[in-house]
Amino acid sequence: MVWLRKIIFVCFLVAYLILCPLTVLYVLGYVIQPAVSQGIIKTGLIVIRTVPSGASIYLNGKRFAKRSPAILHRLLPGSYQVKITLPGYAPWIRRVNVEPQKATALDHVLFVPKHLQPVSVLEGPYQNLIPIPQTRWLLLAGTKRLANWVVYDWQSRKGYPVISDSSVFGNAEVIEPITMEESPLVLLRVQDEGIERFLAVELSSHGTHSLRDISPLFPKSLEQVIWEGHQTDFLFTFQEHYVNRVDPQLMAIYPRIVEKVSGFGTDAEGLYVLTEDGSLIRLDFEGTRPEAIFEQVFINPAWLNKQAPIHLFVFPRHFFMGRTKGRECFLIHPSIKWHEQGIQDFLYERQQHRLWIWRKRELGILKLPSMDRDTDSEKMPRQRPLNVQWILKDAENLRQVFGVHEGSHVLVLDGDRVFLQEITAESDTAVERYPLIQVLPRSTIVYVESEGLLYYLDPTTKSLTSLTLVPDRSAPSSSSLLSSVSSIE
Amino acid sequence: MIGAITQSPFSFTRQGLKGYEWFLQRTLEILPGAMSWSILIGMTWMAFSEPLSAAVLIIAFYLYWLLRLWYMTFFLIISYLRLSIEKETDWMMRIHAMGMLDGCVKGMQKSPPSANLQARFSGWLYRRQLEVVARSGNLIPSAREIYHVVIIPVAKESRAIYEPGVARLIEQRFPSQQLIVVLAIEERGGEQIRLEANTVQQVYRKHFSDFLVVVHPGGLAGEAQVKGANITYAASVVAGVLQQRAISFQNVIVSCLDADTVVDLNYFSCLTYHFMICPQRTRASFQPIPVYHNNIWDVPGFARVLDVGSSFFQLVEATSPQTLVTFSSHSMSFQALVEIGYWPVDMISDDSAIFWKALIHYEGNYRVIPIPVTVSMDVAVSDSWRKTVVNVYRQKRRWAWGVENLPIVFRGFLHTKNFPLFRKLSYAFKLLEGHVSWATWSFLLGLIGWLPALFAGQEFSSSVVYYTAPRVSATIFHLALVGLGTTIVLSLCLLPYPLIGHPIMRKIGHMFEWLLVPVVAIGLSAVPALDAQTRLLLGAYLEFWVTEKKR
Repeated sequence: MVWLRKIIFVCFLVAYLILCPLTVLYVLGYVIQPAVSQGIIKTGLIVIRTVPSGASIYLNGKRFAKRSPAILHRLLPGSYQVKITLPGYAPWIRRVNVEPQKATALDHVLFVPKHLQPVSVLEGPYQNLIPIPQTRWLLLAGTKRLANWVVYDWQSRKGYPVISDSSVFGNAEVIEPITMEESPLVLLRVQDEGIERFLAVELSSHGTHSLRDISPLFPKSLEQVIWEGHQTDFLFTFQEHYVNRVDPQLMAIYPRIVEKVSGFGTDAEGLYVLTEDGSLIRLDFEGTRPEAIFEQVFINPAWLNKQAPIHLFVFPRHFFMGRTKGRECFLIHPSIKWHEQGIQDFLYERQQHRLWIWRKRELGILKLPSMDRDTDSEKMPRQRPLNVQWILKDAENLRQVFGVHEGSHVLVLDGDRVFLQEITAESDTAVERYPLIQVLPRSTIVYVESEGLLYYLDPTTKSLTSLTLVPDRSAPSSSSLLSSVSSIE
Repeated sequence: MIGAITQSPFSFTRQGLKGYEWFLQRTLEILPGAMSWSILIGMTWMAFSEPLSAAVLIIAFYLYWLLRLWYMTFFLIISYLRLSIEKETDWMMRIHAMGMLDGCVKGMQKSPPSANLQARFSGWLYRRQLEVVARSGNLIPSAREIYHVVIIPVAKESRAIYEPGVARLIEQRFPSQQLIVVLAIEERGGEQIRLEANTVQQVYRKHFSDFLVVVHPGGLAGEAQVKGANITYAASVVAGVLQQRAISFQNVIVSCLDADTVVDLNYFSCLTYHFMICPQRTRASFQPIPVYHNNIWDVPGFARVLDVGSSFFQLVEATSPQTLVTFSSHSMSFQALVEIGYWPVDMISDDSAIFWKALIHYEGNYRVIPIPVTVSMDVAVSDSWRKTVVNVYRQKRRWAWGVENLPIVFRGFLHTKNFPLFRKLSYAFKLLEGHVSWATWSFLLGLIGWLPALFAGQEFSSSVVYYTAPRVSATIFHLALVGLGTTIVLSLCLLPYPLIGHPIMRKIGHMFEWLLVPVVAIGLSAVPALDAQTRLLLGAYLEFWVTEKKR
């Protein structure tokens, strides 16, 4: 037994001494090529994941044995033409560089069908479609008359009238629907027999909606109303530089919970207020226990004392975006300096911690630095400027933008045309543009990332129609990490 | 009466040290825990700060682990086959044949043609052993002169725990009249324990050469509340009895069996045979294969998997007599026991400490002979599932507390002059590597190895390693399934047939219990080991804790 053990031990030791360096070299991307002068050379690889999967892969014209998803190992450094094809879809062709010991990730290849197959999901006619971001619903307006408004639940794939036929508000005309991200509450500003009213509609997954007239809670000179998505008992209204709290359940007003206000916004932690003297504070939803976030915010003083409030948007890592009625947008952070004029809207992508920002003709990316309020800002007392990287400059009238397939693409509503724009992960530049559809003039669109579905109003039938953009949701981490901060006001 | 004790110049204890010896002891106590924590913290830190280097190191480690697993699996099969081959061996016949050694060697030239493969192989091994004995010219004691002292320590265990073990001694194929049974009772155990022991003594005394109940008084100077103190006291009393009866210590084999141990019917015949053919029989311990079959089908699946794993580890160890260390129930020459000054009276891990003590005392001229026979014990179990987890955890921590030997053994090695350096280094490496790998490997395999991929930053996730390392890891883990599959098959062969329920279904169910290995290996093996090493590192020494056993 002793000699057997010794022999086996030596065999295993020798095996390890040979296998270990070879395995490590393989893991590091080295290959041994006796024909090449160096002997051992560094290689790179290309990672390909497509939606749908099962696509054929060609490298410099030669077909690769495996279908997507696939990793193309042991590639010598250099430039390669990658062509990925799938029957029924437009081929995907790029030239990519392979660097030694680096992986080139083509992991968000999204195939667009050659022949789109829209599906009518709710018969029309409808005039417009109103998104309620991060919820299961969207609103459909048949006419201005409230009786012709419908709530569509894209999870149950059913539509329900906003009000019952017998409702006294059936003939009221909707002036403005007000929705908030993640909120089942919809405020409808309506004109009913010459009187302006506010109706609160609480949406439910069962298809029954409660509707109440909460007009007495709102002043005639209301500038703005906001609430946090899940806190529907805490509505905040702005009036003459002060904020009132409104409880629609109790039909109660708590006036002037904060005064000398230039702007305000909410998130799950409470109410944020930009004061007239330029400091940013946070209060709880009751309007008490103020806490200073930034003592002094460096923004244009002219924006602070305008009659219309600044709308504050709260992003993670203590980044705040202010937007004035005059479409001036600015970041609020002690270490960051950025503002831009003429901004139509913006979209925050949580995963990349970046903002999609668009003007009428331009779409750009603003990458937010990954710094912490309490540490990095102290190290960097001076503000540093940020720049928007404009990737589209030839649009006609950019109206809506949605992130698609984990931010690898953007869905753009330009005028009445919708196209899908591919973005390169490395340089955040626009690559390929895929024209998709035409929508009903002046109507909006909704994109549900978790379903990979685009909803729009067909210009011919005026029906609610869906189009599948990302068909295989089991493909790489399909969970929606995008969060839209756009709201229809 | 205390027997004649030959004191070694090196004192195998951590008590009463001063100056340099204390400093050395303390430093060596810190060493294993510091190494384990350094590996775990270092690799975790690297996984975040240097993920590329961490991934490469982990791959190198995985490969090492795979080869080690295969290596162990190979010897597990060999060891299992050896155990199976000797299952039907008539050891008493071999013992009797020792009286006519020359004729026996000649008569064993060929196995009968009718014999099966197992018997033929067993015969071949037997022939080789006899040839070695015959060539050595050593004097072989007569089987009738050999006595066995069986010490069964009892702390708080009830009669129901140790009586089956005592009853089994009567059924031994070896004459029970050559057995001296000693119930080593702790005074602190109470009157009830003592009365029960006396009752058992009255019932079984007539079957043995002698049956003693020795009560170990509490609070003796220099002793801790450990099993070693109890059995040392009992052994010293036995030494006096043996002297009175003029039985030579050289012909006495002492077996220290845990209270719940039930030995195989062949245990003492197999042990006697190996003692007789051993060239330097007073310089050796004899290690059976410990199995935990007494209540194996009455315990939760995780405990079953864990203890079958422990048995397998001992099976693998049995193939390496050069570095084998005594574990749990085992036997040794009474002469050696007396010469080295009995078991340490202040250490919990007396089963392994007695080997190290002998090894240092005899300057390396001591070894452990594996014997192909089993001793069966209880799996630590309790009233509820949760209490069983706690019980098992504390038992494994006590086993892992064997790390307390390390500083004393290392100091002992420094004191020895005639101990071959290579053997010292070999033992030292095995002792240190064994404990450090026990505490770290499961963490590296089950948790830390995945960190670089899970928390990859932008730079690492765009490297070739990010994509190739998981691929290589997956291949290695797939190849490791060969080892796991073999282990499952052998466990099904080794485990006794369940006596209740549906035996086939229970065995099939046991196959799936092996899926618990990753959790059990971390929670009830690596964590207790790390716990024990951390306590030693901090100087928070473990008190003796009697494993709760239920029947």
